[in-house]
Amino acid sequence: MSSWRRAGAWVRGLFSRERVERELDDELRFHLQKQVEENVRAGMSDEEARRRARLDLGGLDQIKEQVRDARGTRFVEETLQDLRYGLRALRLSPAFTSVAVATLALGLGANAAVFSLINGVVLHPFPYRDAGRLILLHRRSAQADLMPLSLPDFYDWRDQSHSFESMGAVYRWNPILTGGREPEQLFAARVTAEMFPTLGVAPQIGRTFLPEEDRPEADPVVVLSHNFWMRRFGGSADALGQTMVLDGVVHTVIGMMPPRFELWTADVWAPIGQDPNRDQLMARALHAGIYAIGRPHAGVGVDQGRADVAAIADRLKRSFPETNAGVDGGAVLWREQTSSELRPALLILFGAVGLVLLIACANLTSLLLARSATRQREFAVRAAIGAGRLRLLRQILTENLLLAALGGGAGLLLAQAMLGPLTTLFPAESTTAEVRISIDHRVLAFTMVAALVTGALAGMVAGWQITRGGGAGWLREGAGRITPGRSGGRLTRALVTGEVAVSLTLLIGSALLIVSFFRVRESSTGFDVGDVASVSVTIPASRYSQAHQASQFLDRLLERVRSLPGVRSAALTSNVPFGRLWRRSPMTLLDRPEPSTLEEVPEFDFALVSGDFFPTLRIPLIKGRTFSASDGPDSPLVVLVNETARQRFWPGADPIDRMIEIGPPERLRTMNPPPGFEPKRFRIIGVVGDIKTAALEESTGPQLYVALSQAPVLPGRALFGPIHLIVRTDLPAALLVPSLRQEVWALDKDQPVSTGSALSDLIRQSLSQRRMNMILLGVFAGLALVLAAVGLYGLTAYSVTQRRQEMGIRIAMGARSRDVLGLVIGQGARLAIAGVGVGLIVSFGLTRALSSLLFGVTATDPVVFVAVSIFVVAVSLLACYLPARRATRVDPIVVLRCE
Amino acid sequence: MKKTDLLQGTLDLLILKTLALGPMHGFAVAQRIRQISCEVLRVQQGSLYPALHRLEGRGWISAEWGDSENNRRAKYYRLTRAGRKQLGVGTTHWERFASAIGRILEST
Repeated sequence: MSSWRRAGAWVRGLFSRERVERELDDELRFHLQKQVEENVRAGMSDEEARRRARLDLGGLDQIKEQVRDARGTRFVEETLQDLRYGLRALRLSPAFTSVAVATLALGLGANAAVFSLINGVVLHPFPYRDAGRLILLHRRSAQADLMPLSLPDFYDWRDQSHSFESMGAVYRWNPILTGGREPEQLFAARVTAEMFPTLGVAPQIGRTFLPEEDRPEADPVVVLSHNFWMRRFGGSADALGQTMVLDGVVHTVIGMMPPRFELWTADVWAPIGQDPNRDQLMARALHAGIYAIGRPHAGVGVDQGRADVAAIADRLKRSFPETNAGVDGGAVLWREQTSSELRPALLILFGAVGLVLLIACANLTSLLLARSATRQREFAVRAAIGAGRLRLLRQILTENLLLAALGGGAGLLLAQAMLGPLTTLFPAESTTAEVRISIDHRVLAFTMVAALVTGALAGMVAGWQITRGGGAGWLREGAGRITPGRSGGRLTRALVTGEVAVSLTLLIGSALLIVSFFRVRESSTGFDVGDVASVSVTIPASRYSQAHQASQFLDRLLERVRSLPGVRSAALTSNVPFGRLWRRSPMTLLDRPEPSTLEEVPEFDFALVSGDFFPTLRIPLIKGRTFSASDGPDSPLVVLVNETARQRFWPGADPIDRMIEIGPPERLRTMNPPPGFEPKRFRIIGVVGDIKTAALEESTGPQLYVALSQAPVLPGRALFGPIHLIVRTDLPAALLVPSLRQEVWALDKDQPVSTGSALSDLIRQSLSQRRMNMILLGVFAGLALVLAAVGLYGLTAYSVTQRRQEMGIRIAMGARSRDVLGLVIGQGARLAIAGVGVGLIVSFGLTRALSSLLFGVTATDPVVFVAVSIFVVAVSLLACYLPARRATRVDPIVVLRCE
Repeated sequence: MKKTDLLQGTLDLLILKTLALGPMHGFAVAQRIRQISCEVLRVQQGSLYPALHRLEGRGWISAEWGDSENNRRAKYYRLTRAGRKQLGVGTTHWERFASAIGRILEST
């Protein structure tokens, strides 16, 4: 027989075991018959012949056993037998099975949920080919990291580096799409032609850019993202070849990308070479938000890539000292950079949920030990007829793996159900847009492995205890025990103590996060949040030929908005608090000697605002005056500074009438300012209150405000950038937003307006990461406490059952309910207090890990520690009390009679 | 080789040789071995049937249910081509082994 046929026979032997057994039976029976005949022929009587033959043959079952051994399917057959047996045993004890599966499901489900977060955010945030190797290239300066490049620098980096297989550049582009119902400002990006091949994702339909198309003279083309294609073209394949008018230029659609490809969170992509402002972008001094993504050669790591671009940047410093003196090259693994904000918290959550699983495993072990007491007879009998310890352990292990698999399946269902709320809680803006949180094959594999490890661990520990006694000893131990059996009592108590300790630690951590969250939320913003709505308007360069036409439009808009019903006040600003990040610039204070190094130059966050900005947001004016109508483009330039700036730079003095220049002192400039941005001198006319610009927990730095009417403009653009309209209203802010947009369109129907938001929503969003951490850790800590309480309850209940006779005797001898209660609860209370003690010690050490997430409370806050400890002790006592009550109801006569 | 392996190997060889004479059922194999060895070798059923199934698993013999002399169903084993080859190999090994032992025992 060839080996294939042999394997086939082996498998068949496995599956048609009954038939094989029957045949063996027949064969041996035939042999016996023949032997009997032989004996009769030799002269024995019928009876003698039969007896002799039987003796000769020996133990039929033993022969069968040996044949089975020879067949080689023994291990698998036994395992299958264990599985069948285990399933039946689980079905026959539904209470045990449901509690065990529920415990495992809770622990495994929580782990699966957190792992799906980690899988989606940290491990596989990108759908690109081999995304873990992609490198993000950026500029580093003396003051900042992760800064954008200039376009000429990018081309030099690309052409002169040898670590990279390919490299593409990308920057934000916000074109205005016209020709449809409403003008829409798109969130898009411009890329070089090599960017798509670098990322390694093929378009779903059509193609991406050819190198010839990355040039100014080529016909304008555009690639659509999946979402945009669905939204604007209904997902129809006819979109290919159609045209779109972006920024007034007709673009042809040449391809659509597959779902989840959202490079730079863009609706569409167009070639950098076709940017009408490309000439201005080719200034080495201009760092207009360009970043590069590079795919290194096989075997090349990020350190090599970094050294490569750093060397190129140094060469450029020598070649172009006026522009590149401060430009250093930097490189990071793109995947690491996108998860850097969320990673610490996710790792803490992963640790927490691992502890929860540990508790679930401990509970499972205790359950198994308790259940084993009822199965001791069964094991004793099996041991007596020859099952070795290893064989029994294998049986226990198989049953527990079965339980674990069931628990894992239930846990996955639980995790799937949790995905919805989890995605809602998740702060999507803290990471890249391509992140998807789902139960994919990796989460499945992880959960199954965790389930098997948990089941194996619990099974091994319980099994070791169970099979320790030895056969005869068990058979002797009758049911008439007065004191609890020794099988694993100490182990169970240690497990429960540990569970209480772990849940205490988790609860303290969670309480610290909750306190931090509320402290942050209560922090003052520096302005009156109330009902303030905001929408943004970006006036494209092509719209107005002269800057003053744009300001006229804005002034008329303000007038119209102010006359809307319910509007208290309105203002314009370049930056909304808690919106996009405020711009920061070094400033030169002209009333003192220049600093000698760049590090000493003060930096201010600044915004361009209209005069009503401060009354609209109710920011207090502390000294001097705010902007008025007299501060126009031809009037002397004026600025406002905030209180922190005053205290830091003019302590005890009056900053009013002092002069400031925007930009670093001339001597220390690393590059020439772009045309139109030559430094000008501004006079300080007032001091306003501090406000928080991005996060409630930030410590305020120096802030500076320039009047919008006096703002510098880039050539070819009418304004500095997007302008936000902020409006204080009596109505709920969200209701006002549609009216604001209507007002804009009433003035200019082709002016795109963003979807607006209420300031209070922006602030709420800024808390979303903190909120997620607090809620998740709170849920896990609560879960841990519930599991620990269940464990304690189970232990006490079991103990009560075991000690029924003892209780009966005590009651018969005059003990009162109170005494019995005290006795039973006392045991549990001792364990709980020991657990709390251990937990407190562990917490002192562990909560340090949380300190980066805390605000307004220390990692060892005594109030929190004491309060949580009291809570845990109370819950533990309750968990002991419920089963203890049963002990007081024991009828001594009944108990003492039945042995 | 372990002691049991040696014994196993020997029994396997005997069974193969016996079946070389023609197909027969398990009882007949045991009988034939007893006969030819003049009652010296009596195969225990406890070793015979595991050996038969093992040889079947290795593909050296094949089995088939058929009718016996008195119209009862019995399982008949026969030598396969691979088994015939194995018989040759095994016989050679055995002869070499036996003569080696003989030489050792003779030298004093």
